[in-house]
Amino acid sequence: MKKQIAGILVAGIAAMAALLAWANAAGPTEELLARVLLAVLIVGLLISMQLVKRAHHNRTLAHSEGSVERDLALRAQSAAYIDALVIMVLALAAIAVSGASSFALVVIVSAIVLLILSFWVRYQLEKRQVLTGAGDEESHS
Amino acid sequence: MKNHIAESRRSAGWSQEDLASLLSVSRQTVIALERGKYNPSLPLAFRLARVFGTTIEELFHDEGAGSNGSDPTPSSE
Repeated sequence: MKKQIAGILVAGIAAMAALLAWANAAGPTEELLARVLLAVLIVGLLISMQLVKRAHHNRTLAHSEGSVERDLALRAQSAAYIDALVIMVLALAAIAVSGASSFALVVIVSAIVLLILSFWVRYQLEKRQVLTGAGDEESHS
Repeated sequence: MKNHIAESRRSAGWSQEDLASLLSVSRQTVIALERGKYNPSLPLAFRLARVFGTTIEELFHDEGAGSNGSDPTPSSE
């Protein structure tokens, strides 16, 4: 799954670079089209990564009812919710104080990255706590 | 919460992956259950009991039950 997601990311970044290069070459007349295409590309990337993740979870039964991964994800989501509130309030305060639109964009992107990191770190910590030292006793009969 | 999942599985001659497949959960779940690090949901506990042809009471035993009765808090050890 990690390789597939990395592949999608690399392809997406390459496509973004090509799109930005084209937008620069085309000039201000194509600016709106370039922005729309960029937004579509970003949304497409996110959807593709989610689809890969979901296929992996379906294959490994990681998110089936009763699986430990699902339980850990729920716990991490609950904990990350408080982080999300704090991060969003701080982001809003930063945007309100600065007022600059370019800075606001940076703040919003940073907040999203922090939100994802918050969940991921909490999930990994929970997973380590529950599964550390879990030996591969028997992988298959 | 202690359980006899590992012993029951071994005596049935199943691998962790076999049991995970029978229960429709991930193998990590079986590992966590056997190590007593994860308390299953009630439906999963019933599935475990059904798979091993036993009861939930025989498969799991509450360590705190002898000392001060029941413990209402969900354990996440």
